[in-house]
Amino acid sequence: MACLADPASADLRFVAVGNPNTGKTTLVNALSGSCLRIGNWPGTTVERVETCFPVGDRQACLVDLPGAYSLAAGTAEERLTRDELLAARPDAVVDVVDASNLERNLYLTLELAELGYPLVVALNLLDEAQARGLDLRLEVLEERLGVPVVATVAVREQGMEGLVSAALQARPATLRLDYPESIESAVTRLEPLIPHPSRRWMALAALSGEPISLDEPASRLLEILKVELASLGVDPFLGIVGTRYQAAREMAANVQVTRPGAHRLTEALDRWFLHPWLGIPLFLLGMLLVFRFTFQFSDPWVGWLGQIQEVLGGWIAAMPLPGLVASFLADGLVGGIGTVLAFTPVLFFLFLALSFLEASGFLARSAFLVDRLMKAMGLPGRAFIPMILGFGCNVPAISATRTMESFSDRLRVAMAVPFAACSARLAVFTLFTSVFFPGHAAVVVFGLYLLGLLVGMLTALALGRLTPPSEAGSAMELPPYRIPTWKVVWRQASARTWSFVEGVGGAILLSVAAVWVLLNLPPGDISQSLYARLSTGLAWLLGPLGIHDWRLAGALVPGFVAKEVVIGTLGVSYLQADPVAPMGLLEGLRQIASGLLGALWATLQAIPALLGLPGIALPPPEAPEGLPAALSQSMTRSGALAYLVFVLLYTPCVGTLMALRLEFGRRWAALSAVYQLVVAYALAFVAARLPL
Amino acid sequence: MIWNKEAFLSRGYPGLDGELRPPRLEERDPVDEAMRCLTELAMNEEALVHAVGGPHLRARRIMSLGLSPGARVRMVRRAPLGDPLEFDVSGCLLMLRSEEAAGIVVEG
Repeated sequence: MACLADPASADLRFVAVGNPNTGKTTLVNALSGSCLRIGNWPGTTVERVETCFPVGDRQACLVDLPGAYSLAAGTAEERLTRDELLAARPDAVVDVVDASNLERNLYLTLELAELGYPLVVALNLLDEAQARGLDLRLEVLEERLGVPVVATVAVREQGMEGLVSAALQARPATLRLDYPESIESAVTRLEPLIPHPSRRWMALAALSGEPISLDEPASRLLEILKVELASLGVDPFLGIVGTRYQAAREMAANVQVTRPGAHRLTEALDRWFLHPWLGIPLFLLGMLLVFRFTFQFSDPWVGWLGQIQEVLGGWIAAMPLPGLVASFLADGLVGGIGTVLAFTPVLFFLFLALSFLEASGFLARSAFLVDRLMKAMGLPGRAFIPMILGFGCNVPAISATRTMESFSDRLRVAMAVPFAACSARLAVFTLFTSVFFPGHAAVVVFGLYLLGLLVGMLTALALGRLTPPSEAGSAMELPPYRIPTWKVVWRQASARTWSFVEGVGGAILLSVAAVWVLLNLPPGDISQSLYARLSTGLAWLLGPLGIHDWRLAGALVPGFVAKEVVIGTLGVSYLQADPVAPMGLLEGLRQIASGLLGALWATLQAIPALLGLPGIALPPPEAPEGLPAALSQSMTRSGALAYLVFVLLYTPCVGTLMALRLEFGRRWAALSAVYQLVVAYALAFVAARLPL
Repeated sequence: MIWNKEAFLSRGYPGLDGELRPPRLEERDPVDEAMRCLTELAMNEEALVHAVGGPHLRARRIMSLGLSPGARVRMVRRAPLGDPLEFDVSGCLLMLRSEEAAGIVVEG
């Protein structure tokens, strides 16, 4: 099936609307075949999922609107859904309803019915509801609403053809709710002044106090009507919302022959996972598993990508090129692409784990478990997962702040995340601690992790003092546990990884090229390069921290590209670069192929290793031979500690900075960089003066 | 324990334009001794939601999650660290901090 290049040229435009956790995304996936597009809504970080598929000889495009409990815009997602619905009349609104939770879901359905658009109801998760003993009379719902109702089981792609053909026959609902007389007469007077197909819904929303923009005559009348209602002692908000809840409740009672029993799986799992004593240890164990999964599975692939990079370098060395050009191609270009790609396995597996946690219902449980802790910092429980993910890699941690609703909460967490010691920084820690603190390496590394956590928490706390707490509160749903479909989790993870490569790749490439220029110009000895001159200036600035050697100070600059690059640069500036051995075409291909097999095998081997006991020993440091000896002569122990503290806290890597920019804009990213430099300098200054 | 009317009144009630106003309970059934805060439910005890209080945005959010006047609610559990509470509202599980639950009046 060919995917439609431009969704705007589709013949039919459908939108999917529904409560969160109704399997709406799975349903859109099931409808889509392979033409799913995942992006962001313009100007926001809310995920936008769209898919196009052929219907007979026409092309239909379906947009997945963000989950909403109602069209009263309480969250950013709900606002987006409402605005999108009001902006243009779709050919059909597909309302995805959780069959086992009709009472609450029908509230939104009633609002959608009031919009007056062609509507079709997809009664999803019907298998789950029936397993719980629920018996529904679909025809009653169909008759009451006056729109087609289709039973679907999206995970198993059941009911999809029926849904598409029903969407083609969708028609505006015939149901009309009876509001209290005073409200009804106010609506009748206001409606004619609103030039919009959904004027009844808009009049009701305006009366109930929603910020709806109206024309001058309409808004003047609205004020008059509000005063009139108030003098009658009628609160339109309570009247309107109450009528809808009442109607939803009655309709649910009429449609359900039997009520659903308890969700057995959820009850059983929650008994353990939310257990008063076992809950938190089990949760911590689960987080440990997420990390081991990410690193054990991504390690072989990072290694393989490094191997490809070496082979490419070898091929370039074998070509008859002038030295500087070959060096730029190998170190600047291939090295840059390699740096971008080296991120992707870790990101992909972390995103995979995150998507699974989100879709299965575990993410909401973790918020429930640690909410009390986060409350102490003035944050919602949901803030915990992004903060923890930061210890794996800061980039997905910053994207994961999207699971929080309030902007100020998200920003506070995102400013704290870069202080979490990510795995790239661990490489620097293990090298330096093995040289300078041989007997106490683990203690020093653990202390650094704690320091990062502490600084991050204090940052979030301090920012919380500056911003008012979010008004919406932290009430949220604990969705029933569900086994997510592999397809949805996989697609979400690859789409998120790809959006990182797209959004951040260019910036990383540029900074790698810039570092190459610094290191290689003017050509010749590195101690004469631009890099050496810049580093000498830096060393003067870092003198008060006990870092006097220009090579140590300078390595912090490329560390901005990715923190593990610090070691490579130190190797080059202390020991000079090894010339790359030229490599034949066939030999290179053979190495890549055998590397691929090796990576596949190592990934398979990682599966049993996941369940093994966690090792508490530090991984052995990876560094060029001779570097430890060179390092031990260039600084004192307290200088080394200051250096480590500085590496822990200073400006996040370019990937993190770009992620911050994508989520919060240029200004916040810049502010974060400056703030971290200042904090790093101040604390390293203190560390250099510790008696060791 | 008897439901604390003063505390509820001081918390305000979602009114028009997002302004806080004291709840007009006198329009509804008279407040009697059977009315309590949601936080006062015992484990597994069920009750009927009478009114939802608190700042406008928060109350609206709680209501849109299904905890609206007239809904049946059951206390499920307390989080291990003591604070958020879990409630079952006709088959749907919700998490509320105790200060949010304190603004909800239940009867029965």
